[in-house]
Amino acid sequence: MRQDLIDAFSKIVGAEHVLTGKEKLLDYADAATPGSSRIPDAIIEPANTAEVSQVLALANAEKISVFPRGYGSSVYKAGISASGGVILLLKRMNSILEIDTANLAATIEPGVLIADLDREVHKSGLMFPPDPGTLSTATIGGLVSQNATSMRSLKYGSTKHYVMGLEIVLADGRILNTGGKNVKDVAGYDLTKLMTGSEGSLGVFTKIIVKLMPAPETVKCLLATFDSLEKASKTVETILGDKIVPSALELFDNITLRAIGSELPAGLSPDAAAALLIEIDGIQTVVDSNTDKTTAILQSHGAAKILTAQTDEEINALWSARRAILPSLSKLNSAVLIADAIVPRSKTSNMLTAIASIAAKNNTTIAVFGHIGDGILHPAIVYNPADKNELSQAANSINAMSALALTLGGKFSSSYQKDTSGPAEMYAKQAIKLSLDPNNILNPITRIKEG
Amino acid sequence: MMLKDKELLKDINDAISNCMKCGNCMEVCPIYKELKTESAVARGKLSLIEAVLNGNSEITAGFDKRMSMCVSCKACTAKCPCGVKADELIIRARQAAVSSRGLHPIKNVVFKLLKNRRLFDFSLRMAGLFGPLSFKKLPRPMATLLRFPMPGLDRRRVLAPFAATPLRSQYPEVIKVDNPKMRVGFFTGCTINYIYTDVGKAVINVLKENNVEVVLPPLQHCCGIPVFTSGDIELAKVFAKHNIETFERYNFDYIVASCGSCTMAFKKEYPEMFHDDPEMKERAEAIAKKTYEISEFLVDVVKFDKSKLGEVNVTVTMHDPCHMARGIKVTSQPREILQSIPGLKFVEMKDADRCCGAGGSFSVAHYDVALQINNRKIENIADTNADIVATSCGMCRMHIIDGLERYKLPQDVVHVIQLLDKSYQVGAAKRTKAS
Repeated sequence: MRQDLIDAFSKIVGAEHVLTGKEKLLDYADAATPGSSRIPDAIIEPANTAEVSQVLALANAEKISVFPRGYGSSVYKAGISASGGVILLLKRMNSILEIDTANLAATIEPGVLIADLDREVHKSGLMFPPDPGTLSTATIGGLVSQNATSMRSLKYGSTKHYVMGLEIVLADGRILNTGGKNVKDVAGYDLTKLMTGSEGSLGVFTKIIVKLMPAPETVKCLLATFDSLEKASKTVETILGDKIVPSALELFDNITLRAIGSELPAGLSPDAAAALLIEIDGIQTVVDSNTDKTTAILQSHGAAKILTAQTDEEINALWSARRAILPSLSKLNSAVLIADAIVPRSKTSNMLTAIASIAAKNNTTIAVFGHIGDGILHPAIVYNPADKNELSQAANSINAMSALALTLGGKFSSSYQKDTSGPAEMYAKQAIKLSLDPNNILNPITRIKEG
Repeated sequence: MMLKDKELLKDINDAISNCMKCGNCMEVCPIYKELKTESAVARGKLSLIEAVLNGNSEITAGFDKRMSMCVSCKACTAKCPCGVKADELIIRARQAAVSSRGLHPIKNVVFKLLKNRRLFDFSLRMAGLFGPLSFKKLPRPMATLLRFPMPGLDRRRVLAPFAATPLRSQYPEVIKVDNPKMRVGFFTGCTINYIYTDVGKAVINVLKENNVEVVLPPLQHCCGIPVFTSGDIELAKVFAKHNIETFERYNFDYIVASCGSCTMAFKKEYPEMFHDDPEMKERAEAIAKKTYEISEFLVDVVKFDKSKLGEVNVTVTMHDPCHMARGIKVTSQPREILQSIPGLKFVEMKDADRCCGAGGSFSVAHYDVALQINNRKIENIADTNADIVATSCGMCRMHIIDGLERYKLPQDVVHVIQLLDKSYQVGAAKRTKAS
């Protein structure tokens, strides 16, 4: 990058907050996305909205690509450069500005870790429901950019249901405020919704107003194993059909269980074909009755082993098995390519069977886990991207799974595959992108350009 | 150059590729907590090592600097969901850096001195004799400040004085007891031989109270951990071999050490250092099997005599040194000892097993960061309102005393065994009085 530009950026954020030099840049060449390492030209760490605004104005004038990044824990190619340019590191903007208990809202900066927000709001008996698998390294900015779903989406919905308002710096440096703490806070276009999930391609969030919920009185957890995937998915259908809405309903397949291995709670066999993790929260009597009903359903559907967790410690033990999935899988080979396969709940059983045959046909290892209660499955291909053969088998599997999900009335996405939007959808997306970011500097997303 | 650097790291290629860059290490790394830079945390360091392996970068001064920014506290390794032993990989990277670019000039001088056992011994004895000339004593026990600037040492730093007479010179080689139930070799380590002789005395007293014959092999030498973590593996092996040979000669029932890092050297690092030398590995393993940290030894092997303990009315909190907590995983035994002392009130501090910032030579090279890490430890200590901090590492003790002095806090820092020794003494005095 030209020295005069580095000087200009340094003037905005302070020289110590502009990182250049190969070794510093190499530090930011990776995020938790396999095979996508790319070295940026500089790292810029702004401290506030005004600095973000000035950085973007300059980048826009000079047509420099900008890649917003938090802690770099994304598995979806976020936070890494696609083509040189600068990484806009938002870690310094990490203040919880306000927790408004009267309006059940918090105003926070994008670099706040979900775990830290959780801890703070819990002091007031509140919770922030979106709970990604990586809560100790995921930032709120990343969560909103990806409109992340979470373990608790079944009952509480995804991130978009908790974003009330945003302060966003647009590509040219203009500062836009959307929404607010009022429940109805929009007339006309709902820009908050548009920006949520925009993957850093329409603007950079500098403040986020999120909705909080009262923390549940009681939580109980069940973990049950099965000797077939079919039994597990039928169990899920029956639980939801009986009008029980657990706060989480997670699936583990056999490959996943074996990968977790020693991290599994005592008494559970990694040889089971499938396992379900079920969390029920709410008022004590409701939780007790729903737990009993669920246990009866698990038994009648042939669960091999059922563990019940009640204390914080027991519950954490079950959840830590869930949180260990992705890292454990990554130990099996050099990389894990994780995808979202979303199908109507009634079709999860078909999807699971078909994924197994796709894996066999392409000679790939595909572990499946995910929020089965929502019909969200995460097929995870464990492979070595450096091996040409394995790479092409992985690609074939992705394409086959994607086609399958569409046939079943669902959606599919992965960091590997191109956008499957139809022509009209693509037109609308491009029009929005180009009108807000005409120079295509913000997280220039290849799939929109390619569309 | 690049090709050569790449070769130096080739054997850890697979281990490095297990890192999925999830960044969970950011949550626990004490240095990252202070600096918030990617280069401070394991993920960033492993990325850089990977870049060298891929031929995208080479071992430069910047590489050395980054790799030096690690306290070897093993918190990342304990946290890593992928089982990547980042602390060991960083030490391997330091080794590669030493092979490629040589040792840091100050370390080079120090290690040359350390290598010569007799010269090293002579120098530290002299330091003990002439210490008062260069160190100014502070009112608190075991605390001094430098009188004159010295290369590599920050003058703000509160250091411990060198002992006028090293521990091993204060005792005969064999310390007899009347009816010995076992015979142990005491590996004193450098801090206890030359600085904290009070700890060594307490260890000997306590073992005597339990009818254990103690032998102090005079030829023992530095355990080699400081050299090993700096990346000079060949020199570390020289030390390891020397100590193995020295202790082999006696055929002890057990070997004890009272420092977490020294114990870790004997129990874990020596066998690992000789992984490609079957004969030495076997010998190292035989020694490793016999080696115990003193509190572990007293609780698990000796089943120390609790009937003779007297009252010590103090409130004590415990700091777990990194190499105790994550190196040899000994945390319950020191607590058992403290809690068995009549009158002693034990309080846990927050994050007791979090690094205090000492990190051996880390706090010499990066004193400012070491202080920042230390501040959190001192605040946690202050919150307990304890009178005394017990720990099991000389470096931690020195660094925590430095912090307490900085905060003007009155607490003293001692080894766990010193409190047990005190309790035995009180018990003995009471019995004498009664008779």
